[in-house]
Amino acid sequence: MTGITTTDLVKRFDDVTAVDGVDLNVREGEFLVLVGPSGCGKSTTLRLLAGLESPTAGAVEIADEDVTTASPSDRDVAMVFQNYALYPHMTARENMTFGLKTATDFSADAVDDRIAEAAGILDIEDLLDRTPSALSGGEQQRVAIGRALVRDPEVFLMDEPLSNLDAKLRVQMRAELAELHAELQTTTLYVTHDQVEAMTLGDRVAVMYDGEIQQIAPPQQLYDAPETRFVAEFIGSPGMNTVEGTLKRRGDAAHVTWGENSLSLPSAGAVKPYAGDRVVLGVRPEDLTQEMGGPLSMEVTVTEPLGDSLLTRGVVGDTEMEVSLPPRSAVDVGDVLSLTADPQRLHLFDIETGAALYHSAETVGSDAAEPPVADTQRSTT
Amino acid sequence: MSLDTEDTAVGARENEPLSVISDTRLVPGQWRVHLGLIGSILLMASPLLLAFVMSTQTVPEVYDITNVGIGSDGVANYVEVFTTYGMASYMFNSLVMSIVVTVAKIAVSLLAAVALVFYDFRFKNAIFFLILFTLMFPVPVRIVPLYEMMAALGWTNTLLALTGPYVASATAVFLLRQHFMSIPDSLVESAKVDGVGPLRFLWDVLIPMSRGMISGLSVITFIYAWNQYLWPLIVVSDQNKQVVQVGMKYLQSVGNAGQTDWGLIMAGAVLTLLPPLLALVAFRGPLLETFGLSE
Ligand SMILES: Nc1ncnc2c1ncn2[C@@H]1O[C@H](COP(=O)(O)OP(=O)(O)OP(=O)(O)O)[C@@H](O)[C@H]1O
Ligand SMILES: [Mg+2]
Repeated sequence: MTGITTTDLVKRFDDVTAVDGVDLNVREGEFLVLVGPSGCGKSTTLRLLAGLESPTAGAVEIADEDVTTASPSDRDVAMVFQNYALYPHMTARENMTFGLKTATDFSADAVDDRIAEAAGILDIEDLLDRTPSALSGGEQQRVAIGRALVRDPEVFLMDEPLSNLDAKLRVQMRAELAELHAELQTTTLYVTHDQVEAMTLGDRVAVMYDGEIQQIAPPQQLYDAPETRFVAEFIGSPGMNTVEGTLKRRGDAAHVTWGENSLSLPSAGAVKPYAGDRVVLGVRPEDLTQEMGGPLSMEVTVTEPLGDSLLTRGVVGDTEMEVSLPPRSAVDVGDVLSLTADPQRLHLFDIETGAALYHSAETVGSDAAEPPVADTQRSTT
Repeated sequence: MSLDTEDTAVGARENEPLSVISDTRLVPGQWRVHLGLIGSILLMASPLLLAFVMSTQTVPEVYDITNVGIGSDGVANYVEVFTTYGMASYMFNSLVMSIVVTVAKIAVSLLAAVALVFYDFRFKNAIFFLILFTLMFPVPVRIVPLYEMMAALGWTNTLLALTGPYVASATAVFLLRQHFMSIPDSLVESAKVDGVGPLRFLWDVLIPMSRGMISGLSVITFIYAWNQYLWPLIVVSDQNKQVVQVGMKYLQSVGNAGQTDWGLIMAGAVLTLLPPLLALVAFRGPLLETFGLSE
């Protein structure tokens, strides 16, 4: 049984294609996070699943049932909105029971039990008789989640539910959501533009860009083996450095050069075929280290002490790159650093399509056993 | 205007005597301002006060211009308009008309506004502008065709004819529409996902969320309906079905020896004023809210 399946889902508004052929497969009980930059079509995808928009093309299945044309209330989904969408004139309890009474046929006693249970899980027992205006943002969000919980739906749909909270509360609620899901095991599709949230919450993460899914994979695999240049640059904080260079092979050895800089690739035979000789090399800031006489030289332009590391930005060849140095490194703006990269952590992307050509790490990701075809393929066009 | 602002205002006055006009009460030295205010209030209220004074006077007392004290008739004029001239039935008819108009107008406008805001249909904006366009044709402008229509329907002299033309209201639709548009989409969507139907949404969400707007509109509509004169005069011919504003006209023809009994008329006028006044006083809060005047 599957949680949610979409087949070639397309949604066009007058002149924009918000969702452009999305194939999603959320397994039953899975927590899948849909992440991407603003305007990439995440909310639209979610609203298509909820039935709040009707697709231009494609099909939606929830719990093995085709619901493409079903009305929102017939889909057995509960949605949590970014702005909570609590009714301002109702108490928390009334907010939680209002939809419950129409969406389900619980008896009055059963309703009370469910409210009490959800309130217990979310720790809002004392707040049930207050109206939203007498609740803090975090408390309102709990009530909104509680409202979805009591419905006991087939699927939770959440659209950036934490983005109106302050940073500290967001981290706390994030942990609580993860706990909640571990307990309830309800299929959840969670939309966010915050990649940290995506990585920490998701069993798998789907990265979306410009209406298309770029890659769906477990968080670690997304980080270790991004399938497109976009995913590489989007995931990680900061994202991967990418630089255009020339790939030169000599026998089994190969290296990428740009300007005076050059990095050699181990086992270059694994590079997938591509057109031309220019490629995009990717290397994460945390995989670069300072080394006397290293192959790269960076002229420092900005330093950002983050406490646990010193993020240093500079120019290598003609390209901006970032490197994460140990904290309290003696680096000043204008210095020229000698850098080297961890040879096990290099990536190549096609310069035209952005598709990954090569990851130097031999074994990638923690979930190498993941069925690779069904849910990881999606390349840019 | 709380007490502490008063303190600071007084404090400020010590440094800068007489240069600041204080917005608080009870500030010594501002008596000229207060005198002016009291004077203008008296001036504006004078017709009302005079009407009240006259309603207690006998006919000769009314005609004595210099006599502006409480008259010797006391409440006799009030008793008389009720007992002899059927004021009670006029007021009752007006009350029925006003309530029917108010309830029907609000109900129709609510439904129209819901359709205009929450449903998608073709020519939605055109229809809305058509509704706004009707603002240019108030009832008095349409009296002749309306009367012909009522006659053709056989409705003349009935409550239907009295109230029907007032039920549709562009103003109410407009105000409710603007108010509904300020309700976040996500509330509507949340209701959709939960399977809450449109009528239940209207009743349990929209109406409670628009309580202030609806009571404000109701007061305005009630007073407006209560004050109608021309249309009832034309469409209702039975005196016992007539409304209070026209009933007042009947009082004018009463009187001895060619002298209009102003005492009687003023008693009727004061009575006629009371229900709208009560409505205004009772609902002043939501009324101010409706027009965004409350602080
Ligand atoms: N009702 C609509 N009419 C026209 N265009 C729309 C509509 N809704 C969304 N769009 C467009 O579709 C694209 C995707 O919008 P969507 O709301 O799905 O983005 P998002 O990924 O949720 O972004 P954000 O992170 O900012 O919420 C945007 O370009 C947006 O302008
Ligand atoms: Mg969005």
